[in-house]
Amino acid sequence: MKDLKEIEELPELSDGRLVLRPYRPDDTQAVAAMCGDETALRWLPMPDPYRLSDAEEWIADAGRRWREDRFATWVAVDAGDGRLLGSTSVRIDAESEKGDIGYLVERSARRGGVATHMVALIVGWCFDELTMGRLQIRCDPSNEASRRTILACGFQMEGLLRSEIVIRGERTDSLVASLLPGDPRP
Amino acid sequence: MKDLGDIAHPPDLTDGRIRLRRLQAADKAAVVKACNDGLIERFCFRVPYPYEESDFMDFLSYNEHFWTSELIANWTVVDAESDELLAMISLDVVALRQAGEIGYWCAPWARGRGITSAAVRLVRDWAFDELELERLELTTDVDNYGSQRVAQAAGFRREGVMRGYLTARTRRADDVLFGMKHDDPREPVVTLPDPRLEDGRIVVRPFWIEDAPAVQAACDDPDVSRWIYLVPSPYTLADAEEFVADSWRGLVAGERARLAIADATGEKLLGSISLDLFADRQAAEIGYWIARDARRQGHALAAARLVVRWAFEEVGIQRLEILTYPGNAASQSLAQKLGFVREGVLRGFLAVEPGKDRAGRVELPAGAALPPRDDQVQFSLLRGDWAG
Repeated sequence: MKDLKEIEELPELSDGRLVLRPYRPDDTQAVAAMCGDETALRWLPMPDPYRLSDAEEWIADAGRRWREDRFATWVAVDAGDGRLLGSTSVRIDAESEKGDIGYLVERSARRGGVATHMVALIVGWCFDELTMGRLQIRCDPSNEASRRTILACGFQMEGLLRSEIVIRGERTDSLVASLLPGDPRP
Repeated sequence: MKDLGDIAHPPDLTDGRIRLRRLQAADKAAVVKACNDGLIERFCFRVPYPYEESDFMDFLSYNEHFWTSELIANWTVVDAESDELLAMISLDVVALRQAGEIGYWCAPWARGRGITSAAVRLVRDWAFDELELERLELTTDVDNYGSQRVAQAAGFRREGVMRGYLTARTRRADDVLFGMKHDDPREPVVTLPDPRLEDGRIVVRPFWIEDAPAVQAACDDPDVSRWIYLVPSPYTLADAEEFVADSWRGLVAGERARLAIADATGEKLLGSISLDLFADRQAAEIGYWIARDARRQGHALAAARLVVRWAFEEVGIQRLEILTYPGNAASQSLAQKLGFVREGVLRGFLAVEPGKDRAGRVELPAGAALPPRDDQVQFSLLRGDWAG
């Protein structure tokens, strides 16, 4: 796998339709609105209620998160008009050369394939650029939109991890799915 | 801070069980015996080694003036009733910073009873309450597990590692800095306790450095290195010593309890069992190995039952995981006997290690340039599933 120390700043990734770029301070309002959404708070381990100061802290911490924790986080914006469509991340375990992907789509941009495009960009970066060995996605078993994204990106369901994650103080189950470098990609 | 000129000599301090008093000529035999110990040689670099009677006589004469000339208070720690010598402790006051540095050693015959922690608590209280110092510090070698436990038991917090801090005899050593402010809580800092779990047949306890040769013998076995990720093969004594030191680091940091499985006497090593805590400290992974001649006697199952109970009842774990290679039938059978539920197969979860042949490997299409990876079968046991 590529030595991550060579990557000081996260790259921009684009497929012509949307662009993943590092967080900027002027994303604060849009990020706070996206993360404060009821559906987002239902599925993801985030502060509830989600305040403007939470978005400020999350954005200010992005560089450290990558350099120290190998937790790569981007916003997805429309390649044409630059409006915020979502956010996505991959938490890399460099020692075992694998990553755990997360994503969130802005309410107004849902049902348009944004999550699938975000995941495909991360998959390409992790496998083709970094030559990692495994990517996984975990989601709540009743999160139908997320399950559709997982399958649309070619990930294979592996199992149900019981009581695996804490969301808003409650332990809940996660489905886990994986994609390996040799798997077909849609 | 008080005017230290008012204190002609540090007073005796006692908690009823131990007493801190002035060094006496009559302490010579006990001090000479204690200081010719391997651990004191390794970690207390200011103590001469080998330690001769003349070293004691020099020390006794300096000690008369330590407080008045250098603001170093030094006490002999003795049994409050029998006056048996147990340890030595010092407080070096740094007046400029209104701070103090505590140093100590414990005689080999007095270890494992909390004597040094009790002595540190007495000196700590005297320094804060009588001298009115603002801060206390204590530094120990990164590999000095006993000393780090003493610091935690006296309420000191681990503040950082000072790399290449000092030259200890012939080597340059990294030291851990522990600090305490006068208004910090004085209760012990609890990370992971040192457990001693018993069922009458086996004992599960922290590793000792004396276990290293038995660890080396057990791990230099293709069946152990085959089924445990990142276990080197061949396995050297240096690997075993690092394994023990790393086990201590995990306990002190509160991140992993890697424990020895021993026979009913607690002495003979049978295997190892570990509880690796996840970042939220609510979930953890269990891993283990058993030495070749101790297999097929139920030791792994017995040890796992003790650790499962400890994890749920003492550590507060909510979810336990076991991950094994698909070809490791013994571990999958063990997980099922413990009541763990099979959740799925995580494909390509671990990198393949050169020279280790494990069944259950992921097949890649012909011509794929990447090395294959190993699958892991994942099991879990929830606190709610567990019958107790």
